Amino acid sequence: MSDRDFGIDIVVNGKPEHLKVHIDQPMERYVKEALERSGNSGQPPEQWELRDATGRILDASKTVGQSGIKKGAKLFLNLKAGVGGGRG
Amino acid sequence: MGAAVAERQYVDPAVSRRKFDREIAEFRAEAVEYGRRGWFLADARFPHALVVLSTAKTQPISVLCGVLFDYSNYDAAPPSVRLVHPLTREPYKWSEVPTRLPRLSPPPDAVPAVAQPPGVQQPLPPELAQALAQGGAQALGQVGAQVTLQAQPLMQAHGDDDIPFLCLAGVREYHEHPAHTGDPWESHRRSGAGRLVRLVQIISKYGPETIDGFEVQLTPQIRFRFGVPPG
Repeated sequence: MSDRDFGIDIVVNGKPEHLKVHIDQPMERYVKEALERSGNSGQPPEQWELRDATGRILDASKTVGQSGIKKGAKLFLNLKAGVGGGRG
Repeated sequence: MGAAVAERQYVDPAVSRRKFDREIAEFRAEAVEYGRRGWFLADARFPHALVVLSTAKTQPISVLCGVLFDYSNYDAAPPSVRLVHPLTREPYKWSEVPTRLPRLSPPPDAVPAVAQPPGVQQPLPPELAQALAQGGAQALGQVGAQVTLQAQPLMQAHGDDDIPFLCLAGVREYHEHPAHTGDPWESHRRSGAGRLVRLVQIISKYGPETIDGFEVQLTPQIRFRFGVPPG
């Protein structure tokens, strides 16, 4: 494995998934992979929010490298709020 | 736990307890990371979990509120979610709640009407969504010329003395509300909408993460200063 391929963890709604990523690939690819692996197929990837360990929201259309993701990084993927508020 | 009203358990308790234990175990597995964001799991005894949220961006850091979850009958039913006083665990009334979780969104006529399945949010333009996500309220000035946004609280109530509820798919009070009979829990159950970490993330995003400092209001008072009275 070159230094452009490495492993990261994506915690999907609290459950970690370990993935091998390439620095030039867009994060959305790995978002889809993490959702498939964790069995979260009920909502499309656009309805999920990806954050790094500091809580910064990541743009999944950017590559792993552009997102500043390093080997061993831990990211967090959670279902967005969706509809709600002001409807009660 | 606290003032929570016990929900009658009609699902096999072993099933709900096992799913509750999974939620708690997964939260604890990342407790260090979540602690950096100001999330602390203060108590977890089936079916209740208390998460305390603090304002990680302020100096000094302060506790904002507690969030009391009730996972009775999970996941045949979604969890109940209440914002509570972090020390007494009493649910806040609408007039007391420290945050109403304001959320910016375009009015219904700001984007073309497109039929979407329940639980799907009308999308913001990517540039706008990114600006809002990263800049929060400060981005309003930059994007205001493009789309008129309105703040709608995720917390809802009908009166000052009501206990507000989190108006969000995946929350028991939302799905039990008469206005949401068209959006049943069954539509969201398998998407993870009721997961503990997901709900804490959303409350944190629209609550403590929007707080980056303190405001101090001082009211000056002018009175006569009297000298020593004459004898």
